[in-house]
Amino acid sequence: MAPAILSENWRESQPALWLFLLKLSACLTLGARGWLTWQADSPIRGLFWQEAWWSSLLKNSAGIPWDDWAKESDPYITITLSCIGLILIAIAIVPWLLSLLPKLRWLLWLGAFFLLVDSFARWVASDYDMGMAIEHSLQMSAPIALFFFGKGTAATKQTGRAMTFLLLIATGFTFAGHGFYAAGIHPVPLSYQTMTMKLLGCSESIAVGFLLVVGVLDILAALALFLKPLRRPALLYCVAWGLLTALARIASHFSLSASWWNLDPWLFETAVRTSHWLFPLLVLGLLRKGGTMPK
Amino acid sequence: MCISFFAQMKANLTSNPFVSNLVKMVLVVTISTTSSLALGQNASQTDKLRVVWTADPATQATIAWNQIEGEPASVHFDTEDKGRDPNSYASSQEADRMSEYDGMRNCFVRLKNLEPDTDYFFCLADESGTSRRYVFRTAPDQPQAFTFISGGDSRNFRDVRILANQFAGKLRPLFISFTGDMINKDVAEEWVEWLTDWEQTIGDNGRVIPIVPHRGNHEKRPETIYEHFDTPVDVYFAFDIGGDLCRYYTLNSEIPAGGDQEEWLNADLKEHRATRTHLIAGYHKPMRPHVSAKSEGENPMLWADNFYEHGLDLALESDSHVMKRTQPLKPDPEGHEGFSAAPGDPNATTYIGEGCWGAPLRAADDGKPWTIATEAFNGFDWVHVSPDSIQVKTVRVEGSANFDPVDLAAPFETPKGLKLWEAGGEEILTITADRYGNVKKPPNRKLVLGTLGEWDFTENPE
Repeated sequence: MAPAILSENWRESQPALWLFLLKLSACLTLGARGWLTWQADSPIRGLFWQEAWWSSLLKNSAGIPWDDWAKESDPYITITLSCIGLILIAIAIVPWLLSLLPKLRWLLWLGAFFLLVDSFARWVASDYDMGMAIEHSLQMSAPIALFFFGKGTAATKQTGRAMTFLLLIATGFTFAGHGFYAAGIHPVPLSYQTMTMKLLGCSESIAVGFLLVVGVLDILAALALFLKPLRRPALLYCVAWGLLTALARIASHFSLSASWWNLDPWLFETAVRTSHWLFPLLVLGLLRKGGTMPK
Repeated sequence: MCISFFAQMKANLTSNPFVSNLVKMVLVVTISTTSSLALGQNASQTDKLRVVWTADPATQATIAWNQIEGEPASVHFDTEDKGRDPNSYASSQEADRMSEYDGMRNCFVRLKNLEPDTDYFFCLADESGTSRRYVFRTAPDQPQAFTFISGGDSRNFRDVRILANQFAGKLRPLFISFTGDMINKDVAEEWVEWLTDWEQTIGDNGRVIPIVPHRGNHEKRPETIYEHFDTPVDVYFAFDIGGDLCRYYTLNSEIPAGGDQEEWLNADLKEHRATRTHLIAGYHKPMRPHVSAKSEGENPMLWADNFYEHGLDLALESDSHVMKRTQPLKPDPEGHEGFSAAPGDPNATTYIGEGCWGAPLRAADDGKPWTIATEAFNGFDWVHVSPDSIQVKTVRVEGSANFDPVDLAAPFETPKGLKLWEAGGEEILTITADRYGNVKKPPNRKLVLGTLGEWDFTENPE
């Protein structure tokens, strides 16, 4: 089966599997992001602590001086983040209830909204890096794609040329954003370097060199998605590299001696990236022969 | 007639002791105020002055400023106070480096071959005029007590940041170790504000406290600290203070802790551990944050074994926006979060921090069995290093009233109005010196630790 689903238009032969993987992607993305927002330090917290944004507003509208906000706001923000996290975890169940309760699909938009807020917060925290603005496109697309493709008990017949094109753009954005960081167009993240050094057992300079190569490959793959003859190999690269980089989180932090083998949070960091490799696979299933877009 | 009037007045003044003293007092106040104002004037096109230590602070210092316009100023310096007359200073030096960065023209003069433990007076002179007169002190090169301040995270609570800067200046430490996250966003606007606020550490008498800058995660651009402070590009370095009394390590937790940095750290610790009484390291990300939402510091944790192997005494951490003190710790896979308390172990490391020099407070909700105390408040650590011990007081910025500058004759005496943290009931954390080096230690060392009190122990790990 594995080679079959790596071929073009495989959705025709395996519609139930295609839909299952779409649901799985949405579920894992929402659930893992929910867990991380609830249990780990969400970047959304930083949005509440933008002194330049809020100090005047808080004082003028609620009479709260920034001093008080800075000293007292943390528990309230934590409660808010816990609520967002738990809501996301609840929405993660929705994909599996769609056949019974199709109207629940509207909740997927709420999930997508929180993913958008999370992504926006990361973009702000990155000091507005272009790469960060686009890197989470696939994660945000996961619930939206399910909303459009997963109505009822099976995927709709109207696969939609527009939706396929949007998913290609989302894939391209995610890999280009990743590539900008790996190639050093933005400062290379510490986590990329340490993961590479640990997994490849290499020196710092070799890790940076390796990341430069894969960063350039990511950007080239993102561009190749929009060239029909190169679309299929580019998607296959995205499937492979998306899976490897997702698994790298867990592989580089797994420890038998650590509490829960370090699965928290790294299992969730891996799961939240499910769409990075599963969506290129799903897009392959939508494409016609020779990488042609569906009608 | 005029002359006789003044003669008569002079006779009256000198004959009346009360009037005479009053006149003298008025004259003294007038002269000192005028002189002080003159020293405080800045007619040059320079601002955002700071003195930076990155290498042998007994003989070297970098003077940095922003040149607002015109050619970079030159620094005129001397061991005697020559006021604002640049020509009367014994030495002068042009900028060694100028960097256009974040909308500023950062100029750096790297002073070398300075006299240890000496006040250096200086002013900047450019084509527009002369700056105010400043003074900084070089580090001693012989073992003698000194104080320094350590803290970090001044990123988005500006009022408290300014207050903390003023307090730090008044405590007159030898230097300030700033352990990262100066700013929230690594952008020009915030650096302009931060460097302006940092001048609040400068005393009324022009006393500049040298800064030892560290990189935090909010200094996102790898070159930021280098561009604003002229540090080594990778922002890790070490130097001695007081000869063999203390070796201070500035580490960079925002680049791989393993690899080149760890190699350098290991080699340097190995070379110096046996001959330095105290080993202290500062870096941004804590190994084990005391805020539950913060992920564990896996990268800096790579240093824990190095610290223990070489007997590092004190680690200064930041990032979490809370304050904490730990017992001396050793890495222990069976311990809590990889550490266990080891008060009897001379190689163990005490960890303090975790950074809140003007930042929104987080809940200090992740205390460990080996934590002495942790609490959320804005503050910094005030450290006294002597041949006998390292002592730490933690200043609460909010709640402290305005206080007079510390008298250098009693440099670690808490000024009236300054509020200290009672961590587990104790204001002072004391770590007794490793008199005979950091590997072989004498038995019967005395250790004083917060609420744990004072005790003797005899075990010798050798």
